[in-house]
Amino acid sequence: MKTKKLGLSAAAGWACAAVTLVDLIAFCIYGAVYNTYFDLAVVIFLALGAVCAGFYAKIDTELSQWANLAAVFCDSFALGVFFLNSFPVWADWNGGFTMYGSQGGIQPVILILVICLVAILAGIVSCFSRKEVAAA
Amino acid sequence: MKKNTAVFRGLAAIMAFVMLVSMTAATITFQYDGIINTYAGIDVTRTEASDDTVSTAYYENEYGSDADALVDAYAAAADLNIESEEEAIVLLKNEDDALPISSDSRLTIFGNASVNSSIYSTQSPDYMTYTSFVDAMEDTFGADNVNTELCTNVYEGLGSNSNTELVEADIDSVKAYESTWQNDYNDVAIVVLAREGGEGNDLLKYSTTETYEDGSARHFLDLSENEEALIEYLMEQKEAGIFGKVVVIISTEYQMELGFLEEYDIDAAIQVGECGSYGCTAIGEVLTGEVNPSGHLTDTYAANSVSAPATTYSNQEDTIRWTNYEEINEANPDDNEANGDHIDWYIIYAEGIYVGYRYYETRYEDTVMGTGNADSTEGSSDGEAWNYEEEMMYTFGYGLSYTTFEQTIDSVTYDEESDTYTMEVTVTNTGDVAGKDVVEVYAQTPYGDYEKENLVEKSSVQLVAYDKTDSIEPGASQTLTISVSGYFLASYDSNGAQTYILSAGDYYLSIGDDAHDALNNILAAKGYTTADGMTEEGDASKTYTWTQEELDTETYSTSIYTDAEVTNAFDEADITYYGYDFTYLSRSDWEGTYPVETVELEATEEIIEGLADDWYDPADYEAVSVDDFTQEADNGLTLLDMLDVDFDDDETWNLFLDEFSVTELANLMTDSVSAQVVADLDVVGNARIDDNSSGGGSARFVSEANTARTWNLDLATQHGYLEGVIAGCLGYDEVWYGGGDLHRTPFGGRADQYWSEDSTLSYYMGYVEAEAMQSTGVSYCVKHFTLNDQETEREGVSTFAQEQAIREIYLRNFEGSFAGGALSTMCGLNRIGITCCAKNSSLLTTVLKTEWGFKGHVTNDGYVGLGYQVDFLENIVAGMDYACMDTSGDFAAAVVEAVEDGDGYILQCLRDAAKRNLYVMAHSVSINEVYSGGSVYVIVPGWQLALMVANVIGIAGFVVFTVLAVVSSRRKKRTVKSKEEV
Repeated sequence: MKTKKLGLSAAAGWACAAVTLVDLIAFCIYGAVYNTYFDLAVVIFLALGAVCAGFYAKIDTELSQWANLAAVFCDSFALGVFFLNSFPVWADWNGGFTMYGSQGGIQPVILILVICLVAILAGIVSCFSRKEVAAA
Repeated sequence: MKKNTAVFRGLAAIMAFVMLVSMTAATITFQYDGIINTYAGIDVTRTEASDDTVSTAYYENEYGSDADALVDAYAAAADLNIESEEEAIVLLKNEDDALPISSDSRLTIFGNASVNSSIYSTQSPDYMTYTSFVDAMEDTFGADNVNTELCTNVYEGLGSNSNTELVEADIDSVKAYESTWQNDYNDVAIVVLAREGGEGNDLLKYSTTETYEDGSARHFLDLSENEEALIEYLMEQKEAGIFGKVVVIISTEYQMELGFLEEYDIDAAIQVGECGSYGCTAIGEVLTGEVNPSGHLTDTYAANSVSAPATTYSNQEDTIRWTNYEEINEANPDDNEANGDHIDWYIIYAEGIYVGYRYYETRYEDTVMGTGNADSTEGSSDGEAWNYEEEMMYTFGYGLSYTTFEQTIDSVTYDEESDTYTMEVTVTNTGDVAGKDVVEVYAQTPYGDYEKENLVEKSSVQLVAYDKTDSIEPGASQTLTISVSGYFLASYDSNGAQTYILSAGDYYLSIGDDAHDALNNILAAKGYTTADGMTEEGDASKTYTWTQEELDTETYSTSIYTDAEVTNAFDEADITYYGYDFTYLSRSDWEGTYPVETVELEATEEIIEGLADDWYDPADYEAVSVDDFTQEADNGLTLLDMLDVDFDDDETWNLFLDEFSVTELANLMTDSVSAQVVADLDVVGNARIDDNSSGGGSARFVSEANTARTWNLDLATQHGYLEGVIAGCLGYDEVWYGGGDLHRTPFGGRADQYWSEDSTLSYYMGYVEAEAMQSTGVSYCVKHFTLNDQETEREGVSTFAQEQAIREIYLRNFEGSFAGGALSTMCGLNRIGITCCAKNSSLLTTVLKTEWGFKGHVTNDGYVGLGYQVDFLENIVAGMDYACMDTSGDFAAAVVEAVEDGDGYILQCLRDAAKRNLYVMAHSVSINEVYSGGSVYVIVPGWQLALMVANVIGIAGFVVFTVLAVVSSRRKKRTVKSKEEV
């Protein structure tokens, strides 16, 4: 009988999934309050990222071993799109004015970006490590 | 999974991150590469010398254009900074000659603003460190003589005032260090007070956190509770014999309420404004008498900062939303998209021409003459009959000296050919120390029945000319010859003659220590005395008078610059045009017309439709075919051939324009040098920078408002010149300057960048600065054209005003810059009436280009790709020529598309815009690159190459490591399977 001993890789995968989910929720709240910045692409890719990371951590198949890489890809894409969309916020913050018509201030943007970066980092750690399988 | 597989997978993950981040960075930075390259000082062109290259340059200056020239220019700018501040400082109060004080004085510095304010700027080249206020005091008095305990232990880290919050240490924090001045450092207490604003940041009228004893909100420009406590504490210390003197230093471009200077036993006070990177040195020089202060105020300091009628509609508290703004938003979704709701708002310049001193002095005259219900309670600060002395603290033009002067009018002559009154004024130093004095010449023009019937308002006094003496020794004199343009005596009549008029009646020219003094002299000439309510007796000998027998509606019915007809162009800027029953302020009835409070209006259908901005319809314009024009011809002309071609030589310019493709013409409208370059035609591109060359690490000059307070046109000239030299050395050929908007109220956030509340003062300042900067080959871009006098909702607020006020006050503020040769201007983001400045043909074409004969180019303000800014066809049809910060070429793309769709009128407008852009380029220092025989090529900056490489590495790395991981994984499986089979 095979038993699985989940090591660093799976744990990091779970962390990536959880943090990505938190980021997704944070972004949805942000987008609900300031709907100018809501972007379905960000939602989709964060959701995909969380699912992929969870799939990697939970399931142990030939396909699932690439899911954490997919999670990093999805999270990175979401981060990029979110940053692009938040450019007016950065521009108004940097200039100290409202010329770009931004809303909500810089703090929620930074928070969402930082959470996403943490998720990506966890995903990268997961990719570098292996899930152990021990035969009984 | 094999270890190798995991490693490859991990590396693939990192590459995925790098790939996607670099692609994001590339997307943003390539869109704004023009701005990034400009601010980072990165060259995007390369000049290659040919065998014929010579060393001459078309534009040269005394410094040169290389790195050594920049060092010399910076040094000269630092000297000018100090010299300007020396002459800008205004002595407000000097009780019993409290100032100057000895350089051996031992003093203590109070006030958070001594450390945390714009009294000094930290912007400076590495090798020329800025001078802070504390540095200046220590340099002047000796570090051992200056007690900076509070600066170091209380104010450091406290933060500065903002436009909505005042930061001053509580008095207990101050008293904690009391022991340091009880027995020493107590010759003088120096108190520094300041107010801060800035771009996008109008000041509040009322504090949101502090109140007066009666519970009403404390005025933001009055002392805060902590500032008041500080002053009161120092008075106690002075009374107790601790401090010998208390000197207050005001550093503000926002007219604070300074009644406390008289209310308390303060010995002396000076207004120093924003001193720049090195100007604080001048403060020490003035305090010790090394320099005799000679600055005069260029704004009104009312006792009550919210007493002027202009404050009724202004800034964040009193910019009004249309009551049916939701209808507006529904009708204009694009304008509202991602650009806030600025389209929802409006303000009305209900005060008309009665801005600043024009209001207070005119109402004063009417109270003396007993006309116009001037002494009514409407507009009175204390609810009693309006009284000048209660309302005024320091009027326009005010400024004391360490000496005294006497001014006399020697003669006044009129030359009909030049339409100029020439006044000879002798200034005599009647005091004990050398000093400079300002001669302020004011005028009063008739306000009679015609004017009342046709609603032509008249200010009792208006500045018409000025000059400043050299330093005059005690007992000595200097005679100044001052020219007064007859044009400044004309008034705009938008109802009767619908042009400028010279009223029939008595005219007065008057000199005085300030606007009020000059008016008292006029009143004396009219026979009034203190018995009639004058604040003091006037001196009729300081006036010159003549009588215009008949109303003249002809002389100024054509432009003094071009002979173009001058008639109404801004009817639609008047709120009454839309059918509203609105009354502007009139001196014929102060009581009945004073704007007591704002009115909330419902936007009419016409306004809702007009706010849409996408009004261009080719059918409304001249029927022109694209085929009427030739493009991509080979006529053998280059930009070099156009250097000395007159702007009005249409034939030659058209031959040159014919050589461009439509895309090349359109690219001239982008704000990216690399996009503009057409190497074959020697088209070198325009590199622009914001004011004070801040992107190049240069030092900061004194504020524009401080330059104005010098009243010294020579200093303003030097400022414009050096600003141009520095910009040129840094590789720019246009400076988006400041200056042009008005200090309409004390709360306008960008007051430091604008000269004054008076349009004549601004006219001449702009004239000499523009002329000087243009002489260096750097274009003077005066902004923000026009009626952009507040920051609140500037991105689209509808600004309503009467044409008389627009022409005599707000346009006049810019007019001098253009008369001096400025080749660029930047539109405001706001609307005149309901039409955006950058889409306003009355402003850009009728007035600027036709009446004033402007030959330069017009840009919008800060293209951010949002809302109404993307109505490009309207921009170009109205007269806009390029788009500031549009480095991705959106403006160009829209215009090209219209031309490709067959719109010949747009092509005609494009050629007009391109001509202006090329004309400016040909008259800029950038032409030096090809003038000396070189050729210009576009290069890709290193950072953009690096980003591209990062993209490639990211993509390649991701692919390679993913493949490696997959291969490694499959190899492992084959190994396992093989082992199992064995």
